[in-house]
Amino acid sequence: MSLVSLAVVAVLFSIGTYLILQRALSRIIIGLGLLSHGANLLIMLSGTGPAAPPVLAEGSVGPVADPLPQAMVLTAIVITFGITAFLLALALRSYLLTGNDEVEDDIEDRRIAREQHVPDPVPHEVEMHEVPL
Amino acid sequence: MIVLLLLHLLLAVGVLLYRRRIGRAAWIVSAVGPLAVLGWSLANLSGITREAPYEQNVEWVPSLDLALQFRVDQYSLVFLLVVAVAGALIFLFAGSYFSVGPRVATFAATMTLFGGAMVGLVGADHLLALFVFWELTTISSYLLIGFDDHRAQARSAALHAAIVTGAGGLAMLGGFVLLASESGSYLISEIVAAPPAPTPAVTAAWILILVGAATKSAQVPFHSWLPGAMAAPTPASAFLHSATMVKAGIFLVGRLAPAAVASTSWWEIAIFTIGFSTMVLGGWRALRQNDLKLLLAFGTVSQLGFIFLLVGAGPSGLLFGGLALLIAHALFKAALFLVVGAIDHEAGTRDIRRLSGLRRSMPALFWVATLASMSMAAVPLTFGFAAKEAAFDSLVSRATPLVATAAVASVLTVAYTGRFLIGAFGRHQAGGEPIGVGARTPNNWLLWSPLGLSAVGVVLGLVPQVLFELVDRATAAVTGITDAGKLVLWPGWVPALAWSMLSLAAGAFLVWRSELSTAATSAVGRFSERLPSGEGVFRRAIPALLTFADRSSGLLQNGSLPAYVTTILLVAVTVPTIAVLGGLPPLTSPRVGTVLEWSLGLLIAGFAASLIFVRRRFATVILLGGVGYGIAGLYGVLGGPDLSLTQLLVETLVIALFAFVLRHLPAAFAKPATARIQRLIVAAIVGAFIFVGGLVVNAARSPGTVSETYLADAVPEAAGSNVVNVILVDFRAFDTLGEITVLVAAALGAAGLVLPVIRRSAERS
Repeated sequence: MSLVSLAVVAVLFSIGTYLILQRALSRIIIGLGLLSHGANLLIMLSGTGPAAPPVLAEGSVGPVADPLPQAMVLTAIVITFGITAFLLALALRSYLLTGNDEVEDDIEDRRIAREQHVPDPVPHEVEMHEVPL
Repeated sequence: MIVLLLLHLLLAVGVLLYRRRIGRAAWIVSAVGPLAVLGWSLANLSGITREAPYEQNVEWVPSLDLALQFRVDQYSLVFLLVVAVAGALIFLFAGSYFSVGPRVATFAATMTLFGGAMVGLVGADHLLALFVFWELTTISSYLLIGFDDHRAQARSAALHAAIVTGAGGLAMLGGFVLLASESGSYLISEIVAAPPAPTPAVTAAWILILVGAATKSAQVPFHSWLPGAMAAPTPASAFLHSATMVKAGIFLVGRLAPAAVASTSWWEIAIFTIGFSTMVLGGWRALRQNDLKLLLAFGTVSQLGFIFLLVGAGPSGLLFGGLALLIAHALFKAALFLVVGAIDHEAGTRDIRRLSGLRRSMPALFWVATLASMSMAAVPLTFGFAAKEAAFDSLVSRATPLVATAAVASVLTVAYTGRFLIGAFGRHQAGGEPIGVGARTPNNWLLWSPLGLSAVGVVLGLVPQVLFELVDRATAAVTGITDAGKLVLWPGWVPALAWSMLSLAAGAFLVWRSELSTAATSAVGRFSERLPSGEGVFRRAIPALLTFADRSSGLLQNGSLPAYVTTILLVAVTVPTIAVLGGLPPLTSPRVGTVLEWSLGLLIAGFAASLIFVRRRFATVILLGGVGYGIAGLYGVLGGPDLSLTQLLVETLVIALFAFVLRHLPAAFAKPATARIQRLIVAAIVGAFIFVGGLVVNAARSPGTVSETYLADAVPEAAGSNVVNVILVDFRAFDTLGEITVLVAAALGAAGLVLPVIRRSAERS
């Protein structure tokens, strides 16, 4: 693992976080893209450093790169692509329906948060007359 | 034992099923429960007293070591007899008290369930079984207290009782689990035989158990639910507050006290403090009540305080007097509650400011009440006197301040007994139209039940020694002490007699000059009303809790997506950070990196950083693509040409997709939203966390045996030389299948979202 690669991972996570904290859906998608890049690279860093590709040619000797993180990352790249495509479709649909691609606040939650429920007053004294049944 | 419990269940279910047709017979059928308990107790009396405790072990889930274990010794037997005698007479009383109808039958069934739960509680030897029965009494008492569910008072009183005793029950459960884990057994008999060593966990366990017992037995500061529970119909009040529910806490402290004293240093002081303050406070408040039932309720609180401290004090002779007092209390308090019920039923009120002349119109009831009241005030020749003598005697031998405090509370007892009797049956002029002059003594179970209870008290008062063996053996069963006290008609000239005579005389004086006590109580009452009362605290605590819940959910669930994401991220960062602070694993020192890595890294970081400032949508897409291509380069450097190629391809596709979508969107983002600084801070925290986390995580990875297996097996087993490919399509082929499924699902979803839009725009153009 090299220090510079780890620093790149940290920068990608940091800026990805900054972007997903916004309201514009297309920006959030870009932020997610950065986060996935960062996560994939982090997984890759757990393997060996720069090395020969894990291709076993006839008679080849010497160390090769760790194949396991590569297999995982390969899967992750493709799935990220699928999710990005889906989110983009969502953003497009949202824009065409509402005229913007912003994630609005949940109005219902806002209302609940604003309201103060005053509990019913509890009767103070025990009633004197019991109603015999 | 299990048969008795099933019988209660069966009776309750039967009454419930036939509630529309059963009519008044509901109470006769229900009374079979306590009568069966009485029969069982008497049948096993000699066996348990002379030989060994009755034990029964009902296997439930043997593989999990779960079983219903019952163990009835003489101590449990005292409680069983009290429950049975009081229960049977109260059930018969209820038959005359209530009208007929399905609601009443439901009430009878609930009372039966309650009685059954109480029997199980007293008989259980397993702490968790005891807890289950304990909570069953809480639930059924909630139903009983809130029976008049059309009245807000009844509902809130029921809720009050359920919250206080339920919370206490939960505390107690925590205590049970701690106690069992420290002592290695859930069986009460084994815990008492070998108490756990005094560790902090055991101390916490005893505190929690004490809280549970104190809530159930209405001890200060949890007493306030009991007066409120007077909203229940009178038979339920009589059953719950004389013989059963409130005695559960006393049963528990008595049972566990020897173990508690052995493993704590403060138990006795705590019990004395709680008991005496309950005793004095209850007596004091009783003096100020105008409602006969409330007066009895506070009197009950006071008596319970006394019994609680006597029974809970641990392995000493105090238990003897406590048990005698418990029996006496059940008899006279049940009788007096029933008397109040009869008055209420016949006269229509139980306010002592309005009742007048009942002594003339209901003479028989008056004499019943007088007999029971004499026992309550501990007038000589009653069983109450014999029991209190035994209690005072054991306190005298302990310490003078103890008996002096008990005597002060006894003065109050005598005073409120006088207030009860005179208030109910005396003549009053003041205050509105008197009621009850025309009422007649009822000639049915409304009279016979309290008469029966009082009569048992009188007979026991004349020959108290018949109970000596039972109480003595019960004391011995818990503490191992025999002959701890005596139950006699006349104790002789002993110091205890002086104390009880003194309190009787002082109490009688207070009754005679009642204006003195009235003046004193109202003067102090005006002052004490400013102090926080138990009811007041509870009444304010519940709305405060609800407001707190409101505020916190308003704060956490505020409807804003960025706020939610911020919360999630900060929690995700904080929890592992706390774990890491406990101790960092040794870190491997990372490489600095090659020139190629540096240049690619700077490129990626530069592209990414510009994303913060760029506001035009297409520019952000280009920058994202730049980051992706840079990453692809890094993959190549790290020895992954497949990755590099895939990343290049995917990144190109992503740019194409973005381009298609952004065509429809405005060219630029809206103005930067507020809270930019907060976002930057969160982003910086996450970045720093990932940097440190990456160092820690990578240091933790040991050379992978899985990777080595794959490398070794690729050619011989899968006949492929590109190991990454072999993993994807051969070794982990099912994972790849899953991945493809995800892709297809995403593609279908995206198509479903976008295709209608495209079709519509095509039609329009």
